[in-house]
Amino acid sequence: MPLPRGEPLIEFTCRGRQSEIRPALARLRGCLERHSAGNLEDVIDSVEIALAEVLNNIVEHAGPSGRRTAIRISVCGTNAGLAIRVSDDGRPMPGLLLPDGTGPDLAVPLADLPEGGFGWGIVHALTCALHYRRAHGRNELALCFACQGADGA
Amino acid sequence: MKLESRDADGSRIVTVLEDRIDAAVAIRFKDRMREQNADAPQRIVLDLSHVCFIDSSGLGAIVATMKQMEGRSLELAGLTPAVDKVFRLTRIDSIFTIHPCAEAAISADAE
Repeated sequence: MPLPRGEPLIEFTCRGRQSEIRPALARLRGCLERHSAGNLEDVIDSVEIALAEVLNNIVEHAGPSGRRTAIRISVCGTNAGLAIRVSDDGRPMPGLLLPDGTGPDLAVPLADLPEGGFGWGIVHALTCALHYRRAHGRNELALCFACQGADGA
Repeated sequence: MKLESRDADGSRIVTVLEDRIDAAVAIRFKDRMREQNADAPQRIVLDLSHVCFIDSSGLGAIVATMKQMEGRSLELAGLTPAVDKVFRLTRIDSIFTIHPCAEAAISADAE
């Protein structure tokens, strides 16, 4: 079943602090579950996993200490699935570029196994399109998720 | 961070009684695992069947836990769909022995 298109399914703001990530993800998940009638569980998991990485990144990197970043999230249904926009007024991405999806090397001795650096690889792998730009003093990230059964998918 | 431990057939089964291992609890998870397993047998099985969500911080905490096991082995059991997805996407599934459930982990060791 395709998701309704046109108007955003949900649009909201939150602050760039750790304690606001779980409620934001729960709100997003709740909205998608209401609109999908229980048949998009796999895509909803992907959205929650990818958005968790994006929001964690904003909280950890985008804001100078002591200042709370303002985050805006909107979700729209598209022909292929879902388009999610996340913008924040924190620091720009280094070099104004999105980190690539190359994960850390796992072919190393146990003691050297990486304990981080997985986030952007996860986001790249779960999305069918991913775009970043800096505009009007904000980071703007657009993530597209394919839904099986959506028109044109 | 609620963890429940029991020893069976020379293995310790640690069940995570939380529905999320994310950035909010990753450090606490790693610390609790270290504290609770100082006296553990050689093999520890982490039962994740109650965990429905993990992020890269939680994943990092599980890798860190494996590294702090000092000669013990850490195996995983009961990955739910979203957790399994994160392990596969990052290929971290390739560095762990993963069992369908805790009971399967115990019988696998007995064989």
